[in-house]
Amino acid sequence: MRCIGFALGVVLLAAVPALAQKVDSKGVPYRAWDVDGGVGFLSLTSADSGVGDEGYSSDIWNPSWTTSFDLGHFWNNHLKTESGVSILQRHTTWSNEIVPLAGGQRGHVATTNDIQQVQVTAAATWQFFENTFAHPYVTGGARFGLLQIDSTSETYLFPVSGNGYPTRSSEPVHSDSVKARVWPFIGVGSKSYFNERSFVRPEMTLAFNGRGPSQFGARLVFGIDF
Amino acid sequence: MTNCRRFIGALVVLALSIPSAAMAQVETAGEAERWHDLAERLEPAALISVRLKDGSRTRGTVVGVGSSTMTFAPKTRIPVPPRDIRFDDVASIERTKQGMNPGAKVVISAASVVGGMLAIAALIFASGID
Repeated sequence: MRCIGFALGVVLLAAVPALAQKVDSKGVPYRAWDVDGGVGFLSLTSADSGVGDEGYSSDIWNPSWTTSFDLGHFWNNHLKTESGVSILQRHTTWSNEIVPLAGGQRGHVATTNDIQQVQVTAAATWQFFENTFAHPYVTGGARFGLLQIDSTSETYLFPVSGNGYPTRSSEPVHSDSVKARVWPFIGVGSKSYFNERSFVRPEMTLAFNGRGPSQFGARLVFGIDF
Repeated sequence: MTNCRRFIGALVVLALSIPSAAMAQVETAGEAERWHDLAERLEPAALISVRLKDGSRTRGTVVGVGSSTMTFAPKTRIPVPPRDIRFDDVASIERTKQGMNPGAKVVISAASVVGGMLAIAALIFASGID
């Protein structure tokens, strides 16, 4: 059903007449809007992809397939501002914590985090050349990560003395939370046209957190100018 | 005496430069005529690449030839009106071919990469079965 909706949207956009076509101060014609969607991969450090208390070092990279959609507005023949949404694969992290209890007993809290991350991007893009079939471009902006986290914690108690298996002290505890993060990013790509309006856009991006590069992505999206 | 020498020197330089400038002008005129002849001999809808003396290069087709200008329809993504190009401004005219569009090239490249990766994965999988 989604596919039919998307295809219908593309057909409707293709049917939009040349009303949205503009001409810049140098007389170069361009279309004011573009929309695209596609797939790719995004590899994130655990600091960016996880809850943050998994106990992993930040340089462990977790790859994820992504599905993304973008809408852009051209202010002139070269400058575009763009916003987009990327949906990452759901993934699971684990954390363990030993908790000292009264009477010398120790508790072991095991937490499983099921994380769904969606990233919203806001970017400015500068594309090179004028009215050609291939426009290399550079882009940069901010990427906002929204992490929907479903956590399940189980507490085990170790025997006070001697050997033995820990026993579960209570029923698992479920909790939902949302975390938001923001990272700056840069990217390069090429908007390559099939005809006057439809295009494919290969792109590579690099995002940064406080410790340096923390996300590397590549994607291929198909779109249309209108 | 020194002033006189300077004046004579300047005259000599001027005298030497006049013939070369005139020659360059004659050369440009001859060149323009050759570009005119070439443009006239092009068959209809022939795709050419025109480089102008200002360094710019454009691909397109010649849609009309006048005595001193040719009407040129640039091959752009969004169609633009044909424009007149003076033969005096032309540095070169070359025939060119209609290539595959960049979008198709990207898709073919991406498909090749994915196909290659799948083939490698299939080989690894097959070797694992044995």
